[in-house]
Amino acid sequence: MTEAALEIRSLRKAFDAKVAVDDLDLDVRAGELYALLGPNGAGKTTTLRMVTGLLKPDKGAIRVFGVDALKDPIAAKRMIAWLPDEPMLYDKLTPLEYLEFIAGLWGVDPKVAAERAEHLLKLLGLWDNRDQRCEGFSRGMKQKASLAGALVHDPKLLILDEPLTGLDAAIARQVKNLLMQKVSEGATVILTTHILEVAERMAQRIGVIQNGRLLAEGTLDELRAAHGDGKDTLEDLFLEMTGQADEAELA
Amino acid sequence: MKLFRQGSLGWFLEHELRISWRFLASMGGGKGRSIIITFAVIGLTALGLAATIGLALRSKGVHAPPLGDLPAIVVIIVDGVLLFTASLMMAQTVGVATMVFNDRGDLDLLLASPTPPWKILATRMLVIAFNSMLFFQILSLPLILTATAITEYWGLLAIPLVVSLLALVAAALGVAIAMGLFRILGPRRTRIVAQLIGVATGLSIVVMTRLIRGSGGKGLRPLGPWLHDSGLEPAARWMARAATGSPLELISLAAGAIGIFALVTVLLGRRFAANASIAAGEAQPARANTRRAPSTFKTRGLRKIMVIKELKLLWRDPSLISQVLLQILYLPFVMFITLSGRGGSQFFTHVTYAICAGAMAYVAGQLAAGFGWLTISAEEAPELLTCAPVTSDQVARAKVTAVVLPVACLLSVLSIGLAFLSPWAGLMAFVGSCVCAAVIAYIELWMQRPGKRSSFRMRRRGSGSPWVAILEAVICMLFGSVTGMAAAGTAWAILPALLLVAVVAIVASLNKDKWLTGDA
Repeated sequence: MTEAALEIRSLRKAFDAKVAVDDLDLDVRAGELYALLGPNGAGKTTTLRMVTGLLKPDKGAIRVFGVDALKDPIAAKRMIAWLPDEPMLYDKLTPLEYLEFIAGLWGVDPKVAAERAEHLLKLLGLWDNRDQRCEGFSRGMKQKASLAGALVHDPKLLILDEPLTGLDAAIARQVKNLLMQKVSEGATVILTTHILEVAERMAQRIGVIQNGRLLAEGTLDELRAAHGDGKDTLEDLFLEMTGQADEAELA
Repeated sequence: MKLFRQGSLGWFLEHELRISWRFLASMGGGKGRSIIITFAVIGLTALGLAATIGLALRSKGVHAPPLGDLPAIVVIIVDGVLLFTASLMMAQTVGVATMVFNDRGDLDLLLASPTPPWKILATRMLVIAFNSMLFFQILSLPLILTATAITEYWGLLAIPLVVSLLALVAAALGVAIAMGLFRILGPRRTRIVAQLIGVATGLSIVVMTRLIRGSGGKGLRPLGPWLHDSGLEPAARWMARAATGSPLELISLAAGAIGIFALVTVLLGRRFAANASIAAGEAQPARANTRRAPSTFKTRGLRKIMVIKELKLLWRDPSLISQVLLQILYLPFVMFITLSGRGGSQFFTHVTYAICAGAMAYVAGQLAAGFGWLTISAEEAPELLTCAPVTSDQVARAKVTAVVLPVACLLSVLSIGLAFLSPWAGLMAFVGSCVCAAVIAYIELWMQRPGKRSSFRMRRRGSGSPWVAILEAVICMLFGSVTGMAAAGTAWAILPALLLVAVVAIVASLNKDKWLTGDA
């Protein structure tokens, strides 16, 4: 049986009266690319922020590769990389300095970190900009620098929230290729996206979440079999499952 | 019905006032409105009280001689106070004048609209003038009312008007200087140089005070003949008459001030729009910084990499450095002037050293508050640190080190200087400065006020921020007292020390769930 990269059990988070995540159970297998989909405000980001330790759940359990992320967050964090939609960068640092700082935070051996940093920056086309401060970068360049930062400590579980938002086609392709490469090397990737074609083409399994609850989960074929007529696109299935089909038709 | 015609200067001012009012009202977690009303009630009560005190004094037979044809000493005092006020307002306006083209806010929206740039410039200059005079008006109004009641000389009520006119001139000149610097130095250097000019203007007041003190103990009296001989007496009398309500002089002053304001607005309106667009380009730097960064991927502990990161971020932002260092720039001059004035008995020499040591501890705390806000509250990637496999205690300790280290380095230079005169005072100054900086860093950690580094200047205005600023000022003052008294070698230092411990203990106990962790 495949090892579980992430196990979420009965997870709940409320902000005052608004329940963002409601008794959520979720399993992500090691070495797969899992797409977590849902309409705006469905609870996707809240869920992922609880996994990364940025939010404390009201109740429930989170295990990352068997480690209880709530009891031993440091051990769990060692294996995770988090890439939000807004790049977590320091404007006045260069990409190389940024990667050096992250390597220091994750305690990566400096020699290894230097090699990885060079490899990643070359792979993402940032090597020529390695000594320029990030403040002058375009959004795409910032996102790439941030992605390099997420990968410099070689995480086992990579969590990305809307990683392709605002990127042009060429940079988006670079990011997608890199993610597929990481999966082929054995890393686990969880991403949220509103670009359903990305999920359709890249994800091994897809989870659809609404009102903090998991509506459906499986491969695209499994979802089609369970919720469609077997030929539907992911967009058709998604709109049908989330009850937005009529709304979309009206528009 | 709208009070002002759409697009008119009044309409823009009304807009600014509405935005400012809503901003103030949202302060303190939405309690700003009631806080403002409370302050307004207190202010009005103080004014009423001042007038009552004046009338009571008058009924007790306290009379001031009629002003008549102003005696030379009155002219000197009135002009001196006005000059002092105008200099401080100039220092402030030159320092903040670059905001007219640097503070983006709604500037892009306004400049993209078909509004003539001079109107936007005029509105911003009026806001600067209002901000610079507010403090002086609040401070002087009760005194003016008391004096008016005693003298029954209603002309004194012209002083607030004169201060307002001087504020207009200060704002116009400040903006004109900033525009000139912008043309010569470019947007980046202008901000720093303008702030330095502001400090220099402020310092000139200290030097002036020193000159008066150095006039052989005769106070202001020798200035009378000097005014007469230099031919400045008519101008000095004209200003004093305006301030005491003489209509002709007051009208001519108003015409002059409004004229200068209008001239700057009209002449520089177009230039202002151009500068704003250049500044906008600089805010989004496209130029590549090709200097090779010494990234060597050395083995370092968390604290070390965090301190290096913070120092790099600060070092690479000259405008932030200048804003933080402005707080300390006065200190060497004040120390020099204070120390050069020592002499006489040994007692007074000791007092001088104690004042210097206390001032250093106070400034160290204020510096730490600035660095602390930048390092802790304005952390650019807080999520990155939360996601990292390090405990929040480790991050907190590293951050506090990053705050204290630069303060200790800066203050050590002054401490060494003081130690040459008095080793004990120098030691106390250094110890007091470091401990004060560390305590303030923890206060910043416990009572975080998240914001962007670019809003450093506005950091005291965020939600709950004024109270933190007041608390920090109180703690710095107490540290100043303890350090000063300890430097003087008096056992009475124990009293402010106990008070200090009590204040810090209360703050710490209220925030004990955030101890070290900084989980605000």
